[in-house]
Amino acid sequence: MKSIIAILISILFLSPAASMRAQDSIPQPANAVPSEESIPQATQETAAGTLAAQADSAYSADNFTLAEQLYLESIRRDGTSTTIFYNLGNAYYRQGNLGKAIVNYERALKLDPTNADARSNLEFVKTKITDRQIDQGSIMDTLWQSVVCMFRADTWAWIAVLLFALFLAGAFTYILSNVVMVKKLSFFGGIVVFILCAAAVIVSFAAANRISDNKYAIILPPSAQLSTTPRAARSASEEAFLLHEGTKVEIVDSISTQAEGKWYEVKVGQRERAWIKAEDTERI
Amino acid sequence: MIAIFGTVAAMVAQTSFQVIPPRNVIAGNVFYVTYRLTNGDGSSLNAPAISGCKLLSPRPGVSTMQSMQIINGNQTSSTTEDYTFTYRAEKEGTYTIPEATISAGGKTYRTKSATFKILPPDKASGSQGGYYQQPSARVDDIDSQDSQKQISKDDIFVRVILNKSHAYEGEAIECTLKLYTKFERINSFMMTSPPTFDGFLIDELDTQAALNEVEHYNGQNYITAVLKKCIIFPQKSGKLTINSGKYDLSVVQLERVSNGFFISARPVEREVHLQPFKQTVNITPLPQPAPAGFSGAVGQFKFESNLSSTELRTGEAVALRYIVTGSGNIKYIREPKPEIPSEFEQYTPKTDENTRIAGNTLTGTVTVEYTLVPQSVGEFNIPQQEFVYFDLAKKGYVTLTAPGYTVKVAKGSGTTYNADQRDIEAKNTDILHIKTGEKNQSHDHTPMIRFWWYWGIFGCLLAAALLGLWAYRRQLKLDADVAGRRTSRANKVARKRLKAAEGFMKNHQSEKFYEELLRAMWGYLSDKLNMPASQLTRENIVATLSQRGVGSEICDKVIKILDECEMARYTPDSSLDSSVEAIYNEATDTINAMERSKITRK
Repeated sequence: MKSIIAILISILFLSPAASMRAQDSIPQPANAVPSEESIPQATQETAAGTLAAQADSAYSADNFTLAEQLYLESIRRDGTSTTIFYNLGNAYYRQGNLGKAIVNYERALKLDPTNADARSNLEFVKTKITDRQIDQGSIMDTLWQSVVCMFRADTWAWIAVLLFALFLAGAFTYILSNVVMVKKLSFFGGIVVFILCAAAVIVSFAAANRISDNKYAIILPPSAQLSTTPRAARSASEEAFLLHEGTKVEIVDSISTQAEGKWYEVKVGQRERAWIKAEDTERI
Repeated sequence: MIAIFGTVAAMVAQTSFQVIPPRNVIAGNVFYVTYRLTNGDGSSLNAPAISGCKLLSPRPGVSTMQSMQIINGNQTSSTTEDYTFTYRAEKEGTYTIPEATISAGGKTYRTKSATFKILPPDKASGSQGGYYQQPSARVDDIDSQDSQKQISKDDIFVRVILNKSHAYEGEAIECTLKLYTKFERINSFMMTSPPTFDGFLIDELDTQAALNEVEHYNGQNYITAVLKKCIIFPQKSGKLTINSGKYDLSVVQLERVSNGFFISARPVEREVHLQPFKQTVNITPLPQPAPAGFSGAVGQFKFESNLSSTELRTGEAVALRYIVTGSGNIKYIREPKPEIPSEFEQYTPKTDENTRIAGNTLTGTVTVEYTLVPQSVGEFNIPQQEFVYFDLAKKGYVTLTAPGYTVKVAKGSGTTYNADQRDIEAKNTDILHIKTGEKNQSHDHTPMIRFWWYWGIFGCLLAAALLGLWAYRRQLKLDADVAGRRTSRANKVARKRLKAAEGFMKNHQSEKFYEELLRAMWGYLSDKLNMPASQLTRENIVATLSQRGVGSEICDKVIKILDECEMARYTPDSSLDSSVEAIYNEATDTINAMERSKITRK
């Protein structure tokens, strides 16, 4: 009994992120937010909550440019949410801006991987882009990702709490019960629940990291030439490959020079790596 | 006898009179005009004079022909009388042979007037001065077709003749391949490489190659033969070239052989290889951008549609026809593709072409028939169909519209056909609509797991569990030990009784007071020492108390209080308030002292 309590206490203190806080938890599309002047006068005085509602009605009236501006203003003023990214993505798609639409659907899914509408629209828009979707990773990788994306990060955290409570109840039963059968059941049940709880904590961390990391980016221009070195290709031998609007890349490195500006080293699929100009991409 | 036959024949045969005009003739040559009377016995022929020609024979040469046929016992016969006049062409130009009349069987017959051309004579080629230079071969002079003369490429060649040198893409062009020769006798004719029409679609006209026409070309007269005649449609813009192909042929020249006195002419065959003739034509592209739905048609068209019935039953076929009529590249247009509701089953459209070459273009009708079978009951709309073509006269695109139809479909009699359940068919897929309503916007999306209080929940749960465990175990211990519980409760019970005794004291009910005080003392001792009431004797009490380490002083006090109380209880007159209060205080002190001395458990 003493040993079980000791384990519990050690878990509590070993938890590495107990005091950790994410600083860069949310992407802010800072460069995309329009200036105050571009928003029509009528919206200036209205209450903050109705800005998004106005954007919705502008969208419904097929005025997608206005809807886009209103959504961006609403994000700037009232913050982000999975729904507003989703709606903004729709507004971009209606204007034919597939790259930006994909960026916003991805952002919506980053905040809430259970947003089925955003997933469906993302899949739909991905069928319209030039580059074929590259298979991401192995089966185990995909399985792990689908587990992490099964619930939102906070839901996973609550599941961990629930499992911990269940584990404590099991331990309680084991210690106090005199019936052999109950003791056996609660012992093994407790072990299983404890393992599940630990797994839920790990998944919670993975889900939390998914929200905070911004290593993925989307290609924005209709086509972008990637080079083998962090500068514009000077000869045919320096050209790596061509990517088109809407393709998702993983940023693995970045470099900034006076002459060439900022360049990202990106990974496409499992093997292909090349350098791309930072302006050609937008981080999710 | 002829007369008898003639009258018999006259019953069946019609009498006619016609003129056979000459082919084109060359000025200075002799030619013949023949008037032919069929089934008649003509007299008093009145041959008119032809201007520009000189009549050489005032009396016509007459030839008579008779033929008799018996078909299935039916006898027919015909007679033909030809009257031939000889003329000499004097001056070039186009001339008309005026009407001629003849009387036969009491009636006067008339010919129709006919025209013919007199072509200028060949111009002498090259320098005129050289007397020794042999004159080149001439069509009309057999003597000039000497075997000793080389056959030059001006003597025999093939030309490609187009009716226009500029055309739009898709515009019909008439193309004729013609053989020009000065030698009338051609023994063999073979195509070694066929003509090429790169960038064109071709519609050929059936022609029989025959030397039949004299034509004046480049100052020379030739006999010509149409080798090929077709309508071509350019498919791309720019300079396009038509190649006539290569031909091998043999012509007949005359060889003069001298055998002593006579010089006779002997025909000699000579092989000729004709070089290909190339003709270019400038093709202008159609104005860009072409309107949506442009069918590729260039020319002049009409467009209509036709639906066999607008009230149908499910499973019944209906024919939807689009009919394009006009002239131009009608065979090569893209057929109209109507947007037919998906509730109709469609079969491969049937295209029916009925075109012919008329003049220098292609005319006719193209019918596209769609067979539709409605599968569902309801009212469906077949939208109107547009046909866009390029009008050559207006030099612009013209859109023709055929009306649409509303079709009412009722339930058909066929039961098995439609019995199957059908899958839902998506007509269009699009992104899902936006979500309206509350957006739950926030500037901070830090996951819960990153806050310390989240881990505090775990700590609290653990602490609560440990606390609960500790409390529960303690409770369990207490439950397991009844005596211990009694002991621990002894003081509490005693105090309760002392309190009650104090109440009686204040009411001066001394008897009840002592009774209560005694109960408190005995109860306390019984609980504390865990002894049943039956065993409670003074000796036992003292022995047990001292055994448990209670001082003899306290033991004495306990015995004293017990004695005093019992005494006072049975002697009612000694109920002095002062003594009552004293004994109460003493009892309280003793109990407190015993509590303090911590009576150990057994």
